Amino acid sequence: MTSLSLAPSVDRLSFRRRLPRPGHLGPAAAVLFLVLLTIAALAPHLLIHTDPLAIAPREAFHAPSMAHPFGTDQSGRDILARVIYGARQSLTLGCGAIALSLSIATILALIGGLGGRIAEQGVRWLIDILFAFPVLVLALLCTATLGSGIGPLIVAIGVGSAAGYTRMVFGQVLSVRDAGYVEAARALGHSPARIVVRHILPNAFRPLVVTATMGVGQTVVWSAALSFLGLGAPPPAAEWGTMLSMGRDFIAEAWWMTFFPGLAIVVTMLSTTIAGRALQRAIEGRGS
Amino acid sequence: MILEVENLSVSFPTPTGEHVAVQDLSFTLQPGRVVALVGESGSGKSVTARSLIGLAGPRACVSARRLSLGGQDLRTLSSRDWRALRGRHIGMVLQDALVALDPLRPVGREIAESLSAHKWGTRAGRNERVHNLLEQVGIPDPVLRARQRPDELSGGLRQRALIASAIALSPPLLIADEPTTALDPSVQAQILRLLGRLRDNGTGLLLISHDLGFVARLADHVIVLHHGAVVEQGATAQVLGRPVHAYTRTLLDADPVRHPPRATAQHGTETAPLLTARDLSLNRRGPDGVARRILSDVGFSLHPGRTLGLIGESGSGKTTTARIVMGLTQPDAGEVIFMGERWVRGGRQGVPEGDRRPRRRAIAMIYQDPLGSFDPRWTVREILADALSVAGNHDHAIATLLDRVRLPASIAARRPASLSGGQRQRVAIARAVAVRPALIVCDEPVSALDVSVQAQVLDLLEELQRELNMAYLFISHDLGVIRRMCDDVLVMQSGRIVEAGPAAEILTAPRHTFTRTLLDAAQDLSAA
Repeated sequence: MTSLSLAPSVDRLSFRRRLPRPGHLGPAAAVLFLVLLTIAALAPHLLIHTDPLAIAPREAFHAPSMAHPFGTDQSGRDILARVIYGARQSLTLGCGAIALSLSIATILALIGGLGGRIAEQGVRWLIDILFAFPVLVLALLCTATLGSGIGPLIVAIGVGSAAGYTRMVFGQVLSVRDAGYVEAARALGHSPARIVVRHILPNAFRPLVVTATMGVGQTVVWSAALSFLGLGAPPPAAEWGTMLSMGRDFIAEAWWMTFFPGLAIVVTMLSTTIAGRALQRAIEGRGS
Repeated sequence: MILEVENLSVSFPTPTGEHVAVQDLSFTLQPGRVVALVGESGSGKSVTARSLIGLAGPRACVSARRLSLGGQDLRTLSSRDWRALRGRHIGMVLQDALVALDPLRPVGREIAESLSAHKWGTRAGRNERVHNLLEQVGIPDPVLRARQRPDELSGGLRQRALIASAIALSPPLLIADEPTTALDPSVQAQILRLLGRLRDNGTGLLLISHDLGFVARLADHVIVLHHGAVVEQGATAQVLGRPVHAYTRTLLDADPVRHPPRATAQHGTETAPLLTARDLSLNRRGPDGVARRILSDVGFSLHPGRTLGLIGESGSGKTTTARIVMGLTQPDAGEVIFMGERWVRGGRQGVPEGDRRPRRRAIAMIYQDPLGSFDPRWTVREILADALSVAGNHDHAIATLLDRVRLPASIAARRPASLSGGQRQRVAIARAVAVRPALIVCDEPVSALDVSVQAQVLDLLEELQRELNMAYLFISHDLGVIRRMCDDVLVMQSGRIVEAGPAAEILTAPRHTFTRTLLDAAQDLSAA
C-alpha cells in the first residue's frame, strides 16, 4: 500500500463520518420514537391540541386528510389525537407491569438463591406454578376480583410475566452467588447485606437490562390485547387496544380506525426490541 | 517429511496500524527431531503454530519466503487442501485439554472422529485403533476410558487423550502447544516420556512451552522469541547452557529452580503459633451417593512471619485445606485456632459467621485466577477502596498501595479484565495487603503466569512478607516455587498429610515414598 491509494480512502472516511453509520440508523430511529412516546405519555398536549374525546358527528368516518392526518372514527373523534393520548395508558401499563414483574422476580430470586436449600426448592416450584398460569386467565381473575381498569391489568400482566423473569434472575443469582468475587468479599469480612447490594444484585441484573427493555414492548402488546378483549378501559377511552376493538366493526369502510392504533403498537414493540438490541451490543462491547 | 520455514512473518491489522505478531522466523524440522519455541505469552509462539496448520485466522496476514512440508508449498493451499493436510500430515495438541475436548462426547468418539474425517478404515477398525491409541499414550483400561467424557477424566488423562487424537493418523509432524501447563509434576513427567517415545519413533515435534526445564529435556533445537522476533536460536545445550542474548538469560534466571532456596527464617518458631489446625476431616457425597473422604486428620501450625508450603497432586485436598483455613468451607471434624481464638470448629456446631466476620480481615487470600475474584463491573480503584474501607483506611491510600505492588497509579481507573495476568495478580496482592492481614493464603498464586512475571510476583511476595511480617500458607504444585518461598512444607496425598517438616529437609531428603516420587518427577523435568 502506498500513500497514493491511501488518500481517497481517507476522504471517503471523513465523508461517511457525518452520517450515522447504517447500523446506527435503526437504533437512532427507535430511540427517537421512544422519546416521542414518552412525551406523548407525560404531556400529550405538547404534541397535539385536539381533544381525543371531542365528538363531531358531522366529521364521522373521514379518511386521512390534512385536517385529520389519521382520519376520524364513527363519532368524528380525531384518531391521531387518540393514538397520542393512548400512549399514556399503554406506557403506564408497560412500565408498571415490568416493574412489578422485576420486583417479584428479584424478591423470589433472592429468597431462593440465598435462603438455603428448602427456599431454593420452594422457589423452583413457585416458578413452575407461575409458568402454568396463562396471562389471560390471570387477567380475567384480576378484573373479576379487582374490577376493570389499569391497576388490575398491571397486576395481571406483571404477575403473568413474572415467571420468566424470576427464572432468569434466579439463575443469575445462583451463578453470581458462587462467583469468586462474592467469596472474596466474604473473605474481606463484608456483611451479607452489603454483598447482596454491592455484588449480587448489580451483577444478577446486568443481563436483565436488555430483556426488560424488550419486555416493555411485549407488555404493551399484552395490554392492547387485553383491552381489545374488553378487559381494559371501556370504549370511549383513548387506548390502543380499545380503539382496535372499536374499529373492528367498521374495518371494511374505515380501515384507518384499526390501522393507525395497530401501527402504534407494532412500532412500539419494534422500537423497544431494536433499542434493547443496541443496548445489548453496547454492554457487551464494553465488557470485552 | 521435512518442514521448512524461512522468513515466516505474521501480522494483524489493528485500528492503530499493523501489529506484527511474528517476524522473520526460520527453522527446519526433520523427522525424529524436536524444535522448541520458547518465550513469554504474547511472544508469538501460538500464532506461529496456528500459521503452520493454516489456522491463523482470516484477519492474519501470513507471509514467508518458504513454507513447505515434504516439498509441498504450503503458501498456496486452499482451505480444502489444509483440511486434508491437518491431522494426516500435521497433528496439533492444543494447550487447554479441558476446553479442547467436547464436554458432551466420550473421548473415544472424539478420537474416532479425526479418523473418520479422513475416511480412515471401517467403524470397527476405527474403534480398535482408538483403543490402541489410548493404550499407546499410556492410558490404563482404554476400553473403559474411551467411553468416558472429559469431565470424568483427570487432567493428565485428558491431556493424553488429546495427544492420542492428534497422533491418530500417525502424522509425521506433531505440534504441541504448552502440553504440560497446569499439570502436576508426576503427570508432566509422563507426558514428557510419551512425547520422547513419539520422537524416537520418527515423529518430528514442534514444542511450544515456557517451561525451560521441560524444553531442555526434549528439544534438539531451541528458538527464543521475544515480541515476535527471534532473539536467539541454536542447539539446546548451547542456547540454554551458554545463552548469548540478555533476554534468554533473563528467562533462565527467572526459573525458580535457579533461584537460591529460601534462607529459612530462624525467628517465629519460639513464639506462639499464629494459626493451629487440628484433626481437620471432611467427607463429601459424590454424584453416585457414596461419601468420599476429602480430608482426614489434617493438622499443622503456622508461626508469624513464616511460610508454610502445601504440596501434592491435584485432588489431594490442598485447596480444601486452604478453604477451611479461610473459614469458607465447614469441616466435619477438627478445629482451627487463629490468633489464640477459635476460628473454625468442625461438625454441626461451627463458629457462627457473625463471630468470625469482624476477624476476617486478619486473613486474606490470593487466588490462582485473580480475574474471577474481582467484580467485573469494578475498576481497580473501586476494588482497592472496598478492601481499604474494611481496614478503615480511605482513598488516599490507593496510590500508596499500588506503588507498594509496583503498579503505576494510572492503573486505578482500569478494569482488571483489561490488565495482563501479572498486573491482575499484583492487584490481587494489593487487595490482600490492604487489610493488613497477619496471614495470606496463596492458592497457586503464580501458576498461571509466565516465568519472568512469576519471578517478579514471588519477589514482591517475599518483600511484602519481610516488611509487614505476614505469614503465608502457600499452595503450589511447582516444587521450584515451593523451595524458593517456603520455610516449612506439608506433603499431601489423598486428603492426608504424609510428610511435614522444614523445607530444606523435605526437599532434599524426603522420607515418605510419595514425596520421593513427587521429587523424582520434578527432577526428571528440570535435570538438563
